[in-house]
Amino acid sequence: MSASWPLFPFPGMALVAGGLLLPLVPRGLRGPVMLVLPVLGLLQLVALPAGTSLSLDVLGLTLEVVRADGLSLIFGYVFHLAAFLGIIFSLRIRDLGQQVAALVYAGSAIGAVFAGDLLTLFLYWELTAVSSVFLIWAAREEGAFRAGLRYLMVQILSGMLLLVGVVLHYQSTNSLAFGHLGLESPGGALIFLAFGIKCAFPLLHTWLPDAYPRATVTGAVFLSAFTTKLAVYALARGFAGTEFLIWVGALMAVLPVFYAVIEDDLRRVLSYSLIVQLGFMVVGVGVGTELALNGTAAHAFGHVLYKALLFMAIGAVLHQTGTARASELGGLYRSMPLTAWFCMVGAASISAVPLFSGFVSKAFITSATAQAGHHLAWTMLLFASAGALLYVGIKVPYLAFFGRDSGVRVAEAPRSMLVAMGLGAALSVVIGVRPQLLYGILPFPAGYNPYTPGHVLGQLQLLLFSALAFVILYRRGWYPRMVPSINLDFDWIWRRGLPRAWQFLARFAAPAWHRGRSASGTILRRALDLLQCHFGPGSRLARIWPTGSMVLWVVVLLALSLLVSYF
Amino acid sequence: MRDEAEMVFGKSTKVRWVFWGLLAACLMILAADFFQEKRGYVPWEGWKGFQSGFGFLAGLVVVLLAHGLRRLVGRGRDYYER
Repeated sequence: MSASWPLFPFPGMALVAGGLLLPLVPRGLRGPVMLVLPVLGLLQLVALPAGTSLSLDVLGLTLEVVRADGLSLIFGYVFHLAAFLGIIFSLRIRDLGQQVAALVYAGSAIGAVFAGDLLTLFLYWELTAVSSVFLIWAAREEGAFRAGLRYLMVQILSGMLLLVGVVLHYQSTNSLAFGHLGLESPGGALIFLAFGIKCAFPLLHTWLPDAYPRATVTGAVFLSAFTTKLAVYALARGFAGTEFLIWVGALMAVLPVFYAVIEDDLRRVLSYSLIVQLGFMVVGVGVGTELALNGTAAHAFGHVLYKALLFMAIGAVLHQTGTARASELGGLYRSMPLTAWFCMVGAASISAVPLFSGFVSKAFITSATAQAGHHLAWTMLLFASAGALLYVGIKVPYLAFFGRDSGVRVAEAPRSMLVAMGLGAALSVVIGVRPQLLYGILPFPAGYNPYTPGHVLGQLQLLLFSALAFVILYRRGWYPRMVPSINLDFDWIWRRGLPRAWQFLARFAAPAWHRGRSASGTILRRALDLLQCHFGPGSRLARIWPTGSMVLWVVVLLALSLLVSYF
Repeated sequence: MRDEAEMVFGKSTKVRWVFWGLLAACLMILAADFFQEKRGYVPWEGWKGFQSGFGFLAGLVVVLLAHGLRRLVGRGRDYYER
């Protein structure tokens, strides 16, 4: 154990403890106190050398409650940055419940990435689930409450699967160490599934676009940063090099693109695009080489910042106008020019425009995928990159801030929100322009240069020509119009499909059941009557028979059995 | 269709400027491809103009398939409240 930890023994503890004690802080001081907490946590991490480990013996189990290495530290750094930006963004929102939930949520996610054993991971895993749901419920709407319940059920299911997997793993290996697990390890498949739910694997993803757009303006910023990136970290720690993940990630990168194009709610567009970016990271984990894992870590780092920036920009629009629907927005650059600029920086980053952060980190992953010989997966990632420009790079800033003038005139976003967006935008540009700053904190030595002429040229071609396709389609009126609507996703199965199947059964099977019951009741009654007739009081078999006649019948039966045995 | 495009992009002169400017940029960047030696781990990555054609086709495919998807899954906003 290192003796140089200045403040709290556990990473993330400053935020969790600060969040729980926040109600005791005078209202006027809560903002400054909240701002200090991630700074203290970040200082703690800076003082925490890689290779540090802290173990505790609890109930006969040895738990490595803190394990700091290159992989956990980069996630720890960016989680602190995200918490800091989120807190600045939310300074205007004086809702104690949200403030406590956000701090505990951020702190538990940080604690989870430093967990060296599976049981500690499980505890933090559940704490992120329980604390984060309050950021959805804090919207105080019926729809948000229901979405929060669905979100909580899915997150708790993930936690339960993780717990069962951990128990099976411990029974077989007598170890709780959280290192490389692999699908074939005892309990590995269940742990993989638990991580997959939180990482929004295909068909397990619906909780994300269902819940995040229902969260509060500031809650969505926090939600976008922690849960899914914690899952990416867990996959990188436990399942790096699992080839199955390459195809899972490639599907994650491609399938949500189509939903993002037709979606009207811009925060839901960002939710689908979040899954696309997770797909890149999951592919990196699946490839599993040092370059690929560096790419996953770098992409997670950059993505946390620019995705938070995009959620902040659209959140600011929602805060000022009361809507985040593209069909009700347009022309807002006149009212919110700075927010529009920051949104465009986020859009350029997610579209991997050279000199923005997404370009650097995506290049790591696509190069590693190609080097490993996964040509089809590489092509799918290229498709997702082209799509990213269409559904976020152009669509989100264009439909919100430019395009058709909706006539909405509002004030620019509050200063605290602008400061947070400005910092997020600056960090996205700095990473894009000086990627060497990021290389220093990557888990493995990075000797990769994304700024080769061939790569820059290829990326510019991809982006410019997909933009050309957008303009042509828009001019022709073939780009899907934004109309107030929702799009059914796979969660339709349990939100409508299964209840309808049950109603169908109730409607058609119930009468048959009742008819069956009445028919069987009749048969039963007749059988009882028959028994009553022959064995009931006063019936023939219930009479008292003389002993002689009993002996006579026994003799008759014996004679019959003799005859049968002879023949 | 044209009215809608003008409504979305602003005045028709602006639409034309955006379109022709983008087309010029595309042609220049495509021309640059022929002066640049391309290498890659994926066989088709080195083809001249591959990323240009792929980007354009990907844009078309995404939008056209999205149209079909909307017909399949698009519903009224109150679908789940009904």
